[in-house]
Amino acid sequence: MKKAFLIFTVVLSLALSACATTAAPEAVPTVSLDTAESASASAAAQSGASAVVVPVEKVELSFPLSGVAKTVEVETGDTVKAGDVLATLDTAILEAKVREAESAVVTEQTQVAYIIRTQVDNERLEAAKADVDRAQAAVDIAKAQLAQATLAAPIGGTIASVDISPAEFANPGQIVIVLGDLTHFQIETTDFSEKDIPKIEIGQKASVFIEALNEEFSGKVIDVARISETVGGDVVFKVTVGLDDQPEGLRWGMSADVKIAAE
Amino acid sequence: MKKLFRMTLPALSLILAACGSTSAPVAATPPPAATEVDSAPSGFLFSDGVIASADAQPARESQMSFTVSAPVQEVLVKEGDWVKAGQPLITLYTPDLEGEVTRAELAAKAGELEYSYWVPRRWDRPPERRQQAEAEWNQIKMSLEVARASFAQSTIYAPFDATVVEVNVQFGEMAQAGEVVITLADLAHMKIVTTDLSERDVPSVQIGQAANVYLEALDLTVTGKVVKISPISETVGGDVVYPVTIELDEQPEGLLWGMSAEVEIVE
Repeated sequence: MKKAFLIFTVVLSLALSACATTAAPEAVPTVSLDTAESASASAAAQSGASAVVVPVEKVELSFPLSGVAKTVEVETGDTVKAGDVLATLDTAILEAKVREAESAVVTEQTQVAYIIRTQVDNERLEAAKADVDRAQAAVDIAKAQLAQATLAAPIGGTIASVDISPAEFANPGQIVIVLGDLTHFQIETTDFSEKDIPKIEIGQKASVFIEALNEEFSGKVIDVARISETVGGDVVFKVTVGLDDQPEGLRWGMSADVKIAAE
Repeated sequence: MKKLFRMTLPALSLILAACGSTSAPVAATPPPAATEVDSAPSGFLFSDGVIASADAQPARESQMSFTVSAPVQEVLVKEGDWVKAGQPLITLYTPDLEGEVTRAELAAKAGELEYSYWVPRRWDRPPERRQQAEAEWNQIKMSLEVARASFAQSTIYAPFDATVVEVNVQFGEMAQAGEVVITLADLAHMKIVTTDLSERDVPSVQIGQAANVYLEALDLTVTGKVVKISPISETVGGDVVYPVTIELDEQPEGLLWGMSAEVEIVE
C-alpha cells in the first residue's frame, strides 16, 4: 500500500512538472543586451526583443458621429477593396435634413427671381443672393453629415474584426471594424529596451524567429520609434522590422523573437 | 496493485487536463495502458488533431440601444419571445418629439393654405409669390419628415428574426441614449468558437476541415467543420490565440448560448 502511494506521488509530480514546462515560454517583460558573457563571441553582439506580426497597412475604423447601425455589410475574414461600404448608420433623420435644406434653397431662389423681375434695388438682390448661398451651404453640411454615416474601406484588405451588429449603437470614435492588408506583414517589437536603442539604425539586418512556424526569417530594420512606451515599468521603443520575403502561414498577432546584429 | 494503477490513471489524466487544453497535445504522451481509460467521456485527450476549448455563440446577435434618453413607455416583448424583423420591441415616452410632429403637421397645413391663396392668377398676385409659397410649403413638409424621423427614434424594432435574450429595462425606467436595453440573438443558428486555440496550432488548421465537438452540458459529441479562422489574434492569459469558428452539421436540441465545448479538429 505504501509502495503504491509512492508510485502515485511520483506519477503526480511528473504530471505536474509537465504542466510547468508548457507554461514556461511566457513573454518576458524586457530583454536587454547581454554584453556580460560575450567573451567568446565578442564581435557579434546582438540585441533581441519579443515582437508581434502585424500587417504593414492596417486601419481601425469608427463612425465620426453617434447613431444606430443600419447595415453591417461585412464579416470577419471578408476581403474588401478600397471604397467598399462596410457599415452604415440609420440615416432617416439625416436624409430628411438634406431634403429640408434643399427645399430651403428653392425658397430663397424664388425670392431672387422675384427681385430680379421687379427690379426693386441692388441691395435687396444682393441680400437675397446671399440667402441662396447660405441655404446652399446648409445643404452641403447636411450632405457631409449624411456621408459620415457610411463607413467605407480606406484601403483594400481583409476584415479582421467586426464589433457592431445591426441596430447596435455606435459612439463617435468607437472602433467598430478593424481591417488590414494581410498580404504584407512586418514585425513590431514589444519590449525593445531603451538601453539597446542607440545601437539600432534603420537598414540594419535582423533575424526574426516566428514561434508558431518554428522558423527563422531574415529582414531589416525599417523604422525605430521616436517616442518610447512603457511596459511593466520598463522604457521600451518599438522597432519595426521588414521581412525580406513574406513567409506562408503568417498571421496577424503571431509572436516573434527579433535579433538585431549590432554593426 | 494493478487496480491501484488503474486508479492513478484517471487522476493523472485529470491533472493533465487541468494544465489547459493548449498544452494537451504536447503533454499527452500517455503510458501504453492509457487507451483503457478511453471510456471516460472527457473529450479528446489523446487525439492527433488540434484540440481547443470553445463555447457556443449565436450566429447573429444585437445589443440594442436608443439614440434618445427618455422614460420607457412600453416593453412589448419579454425574454424568450421569438420576434420577426421589423417588429417593434420597446417604446419611449417622448412627448417633446411627438409635440414637434404635431406642430410640424399644423405648420404644413398653414403652408398649404398660404399656397392656395397665391394660386389664382390676379394682377396683385405675382407668380413668384406663388412659387415662393409653394417652396415654403414644401420646406415645411420636409421639416415634418425630420420631426417624424426624430419621433421614430422612440421605438426600437427587431433588425432580424431572433429570440429576445435579455430585456434590461422596465416600464417607467429611464433609458439612456446608447445604453443597451435589449439583446436579441438568432439562437436557431449557433456556432462554436474556440477560446484557447494557440498560435502554435493555428498553422495546422484549415477552413473546411472536419471537427468533432464535445458538448459538456449535453454530454454529446457532434460533427462540424471549420468555417472561419480569425485573421487577428487575441491574448488570453499571456497566450496568443486565434478564435476558430466551427459550423455544426446539425444543431443538437438544447444547445444554449455560452455552453462549453471541447473541439477536436481532424483531417
